[in-house]
Amino acid sequence: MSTAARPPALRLGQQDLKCRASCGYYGTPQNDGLCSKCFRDRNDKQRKMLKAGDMQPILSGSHSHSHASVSSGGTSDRRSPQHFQVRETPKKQVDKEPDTSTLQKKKFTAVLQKTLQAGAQRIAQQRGYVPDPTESQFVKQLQKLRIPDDGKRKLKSEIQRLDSEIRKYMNSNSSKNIDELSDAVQNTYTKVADIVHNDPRFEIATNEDRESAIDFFEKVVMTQNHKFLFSPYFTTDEESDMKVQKRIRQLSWITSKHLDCSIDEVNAEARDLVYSAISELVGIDSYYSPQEKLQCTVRCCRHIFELLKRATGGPASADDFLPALIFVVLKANPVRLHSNINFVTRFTNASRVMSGEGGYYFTNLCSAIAFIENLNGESLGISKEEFDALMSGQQPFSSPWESALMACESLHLISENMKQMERLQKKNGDISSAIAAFEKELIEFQLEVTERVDTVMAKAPLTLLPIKTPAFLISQARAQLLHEGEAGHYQANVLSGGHSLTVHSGMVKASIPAEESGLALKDTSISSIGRLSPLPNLQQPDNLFASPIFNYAAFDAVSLLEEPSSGGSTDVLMLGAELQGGLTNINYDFDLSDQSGENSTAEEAKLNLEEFDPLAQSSATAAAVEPETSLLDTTMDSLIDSDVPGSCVSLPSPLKPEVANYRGFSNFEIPSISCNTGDFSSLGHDAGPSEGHK
Amino acid sequence: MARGFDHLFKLLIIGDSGVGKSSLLIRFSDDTFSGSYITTIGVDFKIRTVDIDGLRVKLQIWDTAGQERFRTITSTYYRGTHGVIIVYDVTNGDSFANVRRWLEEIQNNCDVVNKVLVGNKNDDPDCKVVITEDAQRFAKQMDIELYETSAKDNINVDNMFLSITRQVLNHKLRTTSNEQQKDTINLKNNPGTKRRKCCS
Repeated sequence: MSTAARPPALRLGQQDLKCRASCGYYGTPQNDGLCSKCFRDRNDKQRKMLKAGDMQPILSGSHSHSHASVSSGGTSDRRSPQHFQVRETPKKQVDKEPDTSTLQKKKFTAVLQKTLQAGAQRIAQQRGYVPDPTESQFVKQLQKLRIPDDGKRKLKSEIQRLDSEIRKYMNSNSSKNIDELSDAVQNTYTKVADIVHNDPRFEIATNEDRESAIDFFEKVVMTQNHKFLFSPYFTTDEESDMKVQKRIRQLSWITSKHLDCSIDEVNAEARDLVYSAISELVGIDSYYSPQEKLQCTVRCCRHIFELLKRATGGPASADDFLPALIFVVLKANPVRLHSNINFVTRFTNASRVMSGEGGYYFTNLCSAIAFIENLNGESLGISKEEFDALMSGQQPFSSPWESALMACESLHLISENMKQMERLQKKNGDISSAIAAFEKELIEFQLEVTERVDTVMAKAPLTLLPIKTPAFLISQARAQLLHEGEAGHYQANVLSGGHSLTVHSGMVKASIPAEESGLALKDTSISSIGRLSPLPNLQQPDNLFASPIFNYAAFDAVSLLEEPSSGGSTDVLMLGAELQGGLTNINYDFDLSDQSGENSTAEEAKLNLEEFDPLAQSSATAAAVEPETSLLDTTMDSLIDSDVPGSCVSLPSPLKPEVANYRGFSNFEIPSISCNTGDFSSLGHDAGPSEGHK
Repeated sequence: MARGFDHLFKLLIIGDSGVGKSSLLIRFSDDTFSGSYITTIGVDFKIRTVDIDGLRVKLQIWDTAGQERFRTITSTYYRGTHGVIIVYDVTNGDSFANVRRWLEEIQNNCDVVNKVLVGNKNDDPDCKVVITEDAQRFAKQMDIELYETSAKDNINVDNMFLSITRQVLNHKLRTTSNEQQKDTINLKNNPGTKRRKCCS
């Protein structure tokens, strides 16, 4: 409740705290913002003035209250007088002395209202006063009390009576004693309790309602008069506050070990509970009524009990509790400690502090404060010298509580950083694992690609690609070949004689279509052959070897002579070729036969067969042919070098020597066979099967 | 007036640290042997209502810290106390020796108070060092009732509490009757205070 009004008061500037008479000392709100000396002086002056003038009663407050109580007959009116009374409270203090002339007018409501507003404004200007909204709450609460209306009225009048009594006492000029006031208040409490319990107007109320009525009475009166009764100027409360505060500050080196209490100062959970206890303890000052202050104390002590329960693992005893409470008080160093304690002690219902839970804890709190004020080295278990050194600040100390407080920030930072690091580490881990996964994927991908490439490569090796010849080149090459062939023929013809010229040329011409088809076949067959077997390598020598020239040479040398015998051999050849085609590749057979007539693997196989027959004949011719082939080879080189598939077959040059060698082995047989029969027979025969294959 | 009790008494338990004050309290207030156990607020602040001679008496028992260093400050606890239970440990001679000091403490802090001397932890004869005879002699000398109890084994605990309660009740009834005869301010305040106590 007081929290609304309290903060502005606490935020007063230094200047506002000074005595309004600007004597340099601090003033108090109780003294109208004057210091005690100036206040007394002014009081004296005013008393004289009043005595000089008419004997106007000073206590405007009591007037307004009586007025309020008169008008409070109706329930509807009840609220407004209460309001007046409330707002007037601060006003009275301020207004009373400065303009005494207006005092008389305050008897009238209208004027009262006016000055009230003016006063409120002035107060607002002077002290930043915020009208206490709790006053209207009191009225509501009063209406809520489940006691008869008569009882309410009675209670209200009692409240106002005590209110005025307190103000009267506070404003009287006689020497004041707080104990007198306390006694008066306590007696009123007793009287009110008596009324509530025994008055016929409260007869129908239950016990509980009576209790709450008494509580309400105390709460209202104390809240309204808090500013007068709390740390009054004629007591030494304020000095005691300062003293104990200073002492607690000096005792900041005390640790829980000194007090022999079981608070773990560095345990986070324990610290939390200590903090809550401390905040409750500090909060005591922010409440107005003694009941609330006591409740605050109870809450504080419950936190300590919770703390001890956790620390000791069982129910705590007073032996543990009191040291813990002392520790909390020392670490909290609550403001206005003595003022609060004294306020509660003096003005709460006496039974409250003597019995009940609140009373028990309050007593403990008082004991704790007494201990703090009186403690010495002995009571802390340290030597007097050490105690003195620590108190004077000569001996450095390190209390875990303070260092924990100081380290708190750094620790917080550390923990924050740790969290950040953890986050980063996690991210880093994620990235690493992702990288690893990616690497694996990459490897897999690579493997897959390699595998696929391998399969593709296995399916389609590249080795034969160079062999492949564009179709247009073939035709070109063929043209060239024909020319050369013709040239060769011509030369040969020139060399050998003109008798066979016509026959040969005609033969060559006749062979062209066959050759064409053979080449075409071969083009398509290359890939298939490449896949299937390295046969072309073997075949190439044949192709190389199978040159028109060779044919020609063979033709020249042998064919004419051995025509009859070659007829039989061609049959064999054809047979072999057919067989061969059925077995492996017919195209390839035809190729061979196209170019070189008999020069094919089939023929080779066949050659062996043939060897049986024509061996004797061919051996002689082979020797004669060999030099020619070598010569022809050289001419063939040129053809191959120019990338022309001349010599009827586009065979890679590197294989040529091999071919030559190979030829070398079988040369002596083959020429005899192929030359003799190949040209004629192959041309005739080959066209048929090759086309058939097509 | 329908109240839960006819009388409310505040009892104080004092004694050296570790003599078992809290244990006695827990044993008494949490044991449900007779009477109605009302509430446990804190361990060191217990309330229990017992029946004595047909009167319902609410007992409010305050535990105190027994450490030597707190001895001087416990005076505040005595305010409004009706009876004091002084506890010593029968297995600890020092605690018994300190009883005299505790009694002085009571003397200094309250005028008339009802007392009872309790030798706690009386459950293991082998460990017992304070002989019953010595304690009894001392108690007689001090004009104080002696009880040897064991909070652990629940020996004599209730008897002891009932005894002090009866003592306080009798004392109160006596003073009330005295009040009616005399008419001093002091006594005038008393009934009011008592009534308020009941309400709190």
